[in-house]
This record gives sequence, structure tokens and C-alpha cells, in this order.
Amino acid sequence: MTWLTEPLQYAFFMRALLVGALLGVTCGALGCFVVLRGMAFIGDAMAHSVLPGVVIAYLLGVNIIAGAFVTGLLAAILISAISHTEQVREDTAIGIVFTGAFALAIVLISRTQGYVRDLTHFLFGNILGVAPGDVIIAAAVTLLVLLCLFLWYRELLISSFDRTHAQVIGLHLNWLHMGLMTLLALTIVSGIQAVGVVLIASLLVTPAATARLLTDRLKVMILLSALLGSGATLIGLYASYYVRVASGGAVVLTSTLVFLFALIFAPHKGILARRTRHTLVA
Amino acid sequence: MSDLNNLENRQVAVVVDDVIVRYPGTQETALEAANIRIGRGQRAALIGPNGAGKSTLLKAMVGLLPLTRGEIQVLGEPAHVGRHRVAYVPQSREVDWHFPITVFDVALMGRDAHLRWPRWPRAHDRNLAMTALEEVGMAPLAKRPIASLSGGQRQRVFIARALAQQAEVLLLDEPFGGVDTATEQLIFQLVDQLCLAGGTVIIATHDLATLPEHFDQAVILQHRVVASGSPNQVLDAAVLAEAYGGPLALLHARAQHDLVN
Repeated sequence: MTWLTEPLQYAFFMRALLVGALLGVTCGALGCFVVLRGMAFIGDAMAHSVLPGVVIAYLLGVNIIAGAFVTGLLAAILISAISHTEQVREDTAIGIVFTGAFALAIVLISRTQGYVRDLTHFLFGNILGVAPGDVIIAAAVTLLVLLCLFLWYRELLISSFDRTHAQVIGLHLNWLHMGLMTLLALTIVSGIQAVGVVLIASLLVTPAATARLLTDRLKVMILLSALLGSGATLIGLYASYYVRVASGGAVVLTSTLVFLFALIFAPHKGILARRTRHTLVA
Repeated sequence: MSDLNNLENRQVAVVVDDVIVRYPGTQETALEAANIRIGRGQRAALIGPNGAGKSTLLKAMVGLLPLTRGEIQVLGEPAHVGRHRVAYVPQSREVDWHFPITVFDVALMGRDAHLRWPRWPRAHDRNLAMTALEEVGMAPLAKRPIASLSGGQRQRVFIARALAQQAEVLLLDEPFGGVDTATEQLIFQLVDQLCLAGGTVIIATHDLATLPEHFDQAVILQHRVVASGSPNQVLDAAVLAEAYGGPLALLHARAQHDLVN
């Protein structure tokens, strides 16, 4: 068991594990609603749109987390506004906004000397760079997200399942959507240091999709997704420590492999189970 | 409605006055309903071909669609105010059928019309949801995921959700589409019970044959109110010709009409 405890003597690895586990829980739980509401691409778009905020904040010398949060949320509002004109579909609006934001970041970076190395950390995550402050931010975001999901559970459940019923009983769909977007932006921002913007969308989608294969109950799905998310980050971080690969990539690959495993072997919805059932029926 | 005296207010469940609904962003009129009165305790049918404005009218009654002009009152209040007193069962294709949710949890959602944030259901709400499922014969399947149900079973669950809401007015949009005969009979039976207990039920349907037996009142829509009155009145051949516009539909409807009588 020493291989488990050995890396823990390093403070940076402890911090990375803590942030990873917290991020896994937050992304896993929130990701269930992202997946069920068909918002996977919005999550990806927001993650990418965080980047210009990081660069602008760096150039202005203000807090990078704040900058990232603001542009992430701005992108969500912009996507929403463009699709509301009803001239373009939402997926098109997403494609336009996040590539535009990403391009803005690239243009700004190309004018900035000496920032390129730091930037790859934000793109792909840097396990060594998790500061004590990042742990506190991740913990705060996790608490906030879980509290919100707990208090607005029924609103989120009803509006995700049946928008019409939600409207008829007087739920404010736009407020719920914007609330969810805010939580999403906060989660993404709290995770850019550990996993990076390119890969965090995976943590929002893959554990939730895996959990969906394993259960037909939303509460169980949220619990499983949180466990799968933090499990994947822990395994990925250990793998990156021992095999010396990029932490973000290791985390996401672990998560992807678990999904593929579930897709094939899940008790009822897995490919094997379905095939056996068909054979039995025939 | 200033010109309605209290007596009429007590007897009328739904008042539609001079209403025009346009499709959003266009000048195209979806529905022009000059004057409709649905009495309390009545079983009312909205009849008309597809796209005639039946769904539009039902949606306007629960405040889902804004009125371009006019006024709709439900139980003496504007459409969007008294909505916890109105239950609405939309056409089934508007729901995510792969959502991870059980039959019981769908029925329980009917109670959210009355719950306040954070909307945690109490034992009372759970009992009402279970009773509603028993009434539609779905209690044995309460723990099943909604995705595993047949079309008729899904419709029953949504009726149960509306029953759990304990609304005074029930709006059903094409409830018989893709539904087995047993479920159709059950729905009519429940509608009869509700109306005997003083409730009002409005059903959008294109099945003229069910009119005389199962309804007290009918409104024929073709973007506007073509006819309104008792089922036999609106089954008048000339009226049908205008709504359906073809001799075939007319003959068919008349044959059904004669059969029932």
C-alpha cells in the first residue's frame, strides 16, 4: 500500500488530490443536469470561453479566477441571446460564440510575451500548480453547487423532464437556466488549474453519462456520477504521478475508459446485457 | 369581466372573450375565438382538424401562450393567475421519455402546483400521488421507470399527475392519440367522475363519434369558432362541412352521428 501513501508526503500532490476529488463531485453532480438537459455543448463552450477571461485578467493584473468567471458567464448569456433571436439554432450559436472567444484569447496571447508556457497549463491543467487558495475555492464551489442542487432539486427535476409542466405550475425557466449557467461557470473556473479548460467539459459529461447507464433514478444517478467523477480524478492523478503523463489527460482518459466499460457491461443498458436479452426473447 | 354578475361567475368555468392568438413573430393568426363559455361541471370537447387551434386555445387557457388580443378567464381569474387550480395534460410528445424518473415521481409532480420552495413533498402529497395512480390502475407499476411504459400507460401516468394536482379544471390535449381502447374507456370514466364531483374537463379531440355519449358541450374550431353548443347541435351537417371542408368527412361524421342516435 506504500504506492498509495508515498505521493501523499508531497503537499502539492495532496492539494491536487483534494481539488481533484472536489471537482469530481461537483462536475459529476452538476453534470447530470447538463447531460439530461442536453447542455453538453454549452458546458464545452463555457469552458473554452473562460480562456479570454484568463488572458485579459492576466494583462490587466487582476484576479484570473474572476476574469475567467466573467467571460464564461458572458459567453452563456451571448449564446442565449443569439438563440433567442430565432435566426440561428442554439448549437450554431454555441459554435460561433466559443470559437470566437477562443480566437480572442489566441489573438491576445500572440501579443503577450512570455505567457505561452503558463497558458498551456490553463488549457490542459497543471497538477504541480495547485495552490492552497485553489483548494479553498474548489471547496467553496463544491459546497455552493451541492447546496443549490439540494435546494432547487425539484425545480431542476421538473424543468429538465417536462418544460411544459414546469411553466404551467409557474416555475421561472429562465432564472433556473441562468442559475445553472452560473454554477457551471463557477465549476469550470474552479477546475481550470487542475484539469484545464479543454478537458473539463469531459468531467461534466462523461461521469453523468456513465451513471445514466447504471440507474433509472435521478438521485442515484447524481450520487453515482459524483463518485465516478472523483474516482476518475483520483485514479488519473495517481497515474500521472507514476507514469509521468499530463494530469488532465490522465483524468479524462480514466473517465472515458470507465464509460466504455459501462457501455459494454452495464447490467441492463449495457451492450452485452441488451444482446443477451434479445437472444433470450428470440 | 365587469359585465359578468356573480351568479354567472359561479356557473362558468372558462370564459374566452374576443381572443386573438398570433404565432410569435408573425402576423399569422393561429386562433380567433370570439366568444366561448364552458360551464362548470361540464364535459367539453374542442373539435377540429389538425392545426385548427385546439392546442393553441388550451395553451392560452393555462397561460403558456400570450394573447395578442382579448381575455381568457379561468374560474373567474386571468389565465395565468389561477393556474394551480387548472391541470393541463399536453400532447405526450413534448416530454423527455428517456429521463431517469419513476412512475410515482411523475405523479408526485402534480403536487408541485401547490408546494412552495423548496417544494419538499409531505406524506399527504405522496398519498395523493399514490391514490391518483391507483385510480388509473398504475399503482402496481409505481416504481417502474417511465421509459419502460407503453403509450397508453404513459397517458395514464400523466392523467394521474393531473388528478394528484386536485385541480378544478382539467385540460386534456388529444389524450386518445396512440392509446389503447381500455385506456380510452378509463379516461372517459374518470372524466365522468370528475364532472359529477363538480369539476370541469375540456378535451381537445378530432374524434366526432365520441361527442354525443361522452360530452355535454362542444366547440368546433377552424382557426375560429365555427360552432358551439350541445354535441347534437354542433354535429349539424352544415357546420361540419365548413370545418372539415370535404364531403367524405361529412358523410363519415353523419354516419357516426346516426349510429350513436
